Amino acid sequence: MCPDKQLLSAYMDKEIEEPVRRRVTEHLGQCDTCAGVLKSYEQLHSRLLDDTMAFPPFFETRLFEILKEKSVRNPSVRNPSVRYPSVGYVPVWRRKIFVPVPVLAFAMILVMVLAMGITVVSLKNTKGNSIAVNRQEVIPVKLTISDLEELTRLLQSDTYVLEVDMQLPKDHNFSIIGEPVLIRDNGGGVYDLRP
Amino acid sequence: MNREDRTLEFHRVYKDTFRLIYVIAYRITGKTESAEELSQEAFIKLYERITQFSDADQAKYWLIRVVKNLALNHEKRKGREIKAYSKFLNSAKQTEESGEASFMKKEMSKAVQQALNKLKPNLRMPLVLKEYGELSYKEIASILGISEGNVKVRVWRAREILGDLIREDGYVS
Repeated sequence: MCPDKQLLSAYMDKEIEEPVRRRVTEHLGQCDTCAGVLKSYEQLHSRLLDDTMAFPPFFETRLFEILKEKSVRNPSVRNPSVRYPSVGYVPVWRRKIFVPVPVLAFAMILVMVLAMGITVVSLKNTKGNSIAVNRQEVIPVKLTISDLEELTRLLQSDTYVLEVDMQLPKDHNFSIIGEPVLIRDNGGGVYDLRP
Repeated sequence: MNREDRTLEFHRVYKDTFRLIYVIAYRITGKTESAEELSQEAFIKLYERITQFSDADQAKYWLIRVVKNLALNHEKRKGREIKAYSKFLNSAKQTEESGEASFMKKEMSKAVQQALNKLKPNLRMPLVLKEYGELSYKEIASILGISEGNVKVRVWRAREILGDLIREDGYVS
């Protein structure tokens, strides 16, 4: 059975794959009709290619002249015949920058160190703020003057702001001079009443 | 892509495709002037968009599509002029041949091109891309936006019709 003419056309174009191609080849060896059809396609192909066509002279020159004219009228279209444009023509934001890899690596490390430093400092500040917030809590504590050790311990505590009421001995006469001052613990158990 | 890369890329695609693009334009329009004009227009469009293509093949297929569309539009636009030209030529045939008429006759005596011009565009285009562009069915299908099977059928039908047309003129036995 003869193959379809479409198949012979595709066969000539090498668009038929094995094993169909092999079977068509075998058939063509035995069938003069199909061989004639294929030959007519091949002749047509040769005739088409024989019809030599002259490429227009100066096509490229004219094309690049047109592109040059367009580039003058519209700066977005540059003249492609200029292969190596001057550096000054390139806008700053489009220039290439070449950085050696070691310099780039050092810069990246520096940036990372700075970022870490900033992070640490900011965390510390955050901690300080949180303590300050905690310090807003006020726990009233009533102690007698004999409980100085307990007072010292509380004052050394960094957690809370303490409001301390001190009851001075009633058998002594104390006169208050000036504004009240805070008692600050100086770490050695001695209380300095100076502001 | 900076200007230099863009220019080099354009030159590369241009060198690879300019003959193909011109041949396609010529085989569709049948006129050297039109083919040159359309090819130039296609390459100008290419240069304006050269940065948009990921590789040379993509640019090539895009360029073929552009020139195909330009050529078909050109053919539609010039349809009346071509008919008028043919009418004038036929009348010139019947009259005494002057030098100018002889030149025009010679131009139009290109049997292959005449036969190609008689093909419908939907048949002519796949055949031109196959015979002159040496593209595969798959590539043609991609460019024309049709299936490979459709390309196969159209190429075959174009060959059959073209063969008949040329045989009528006695150019192919």
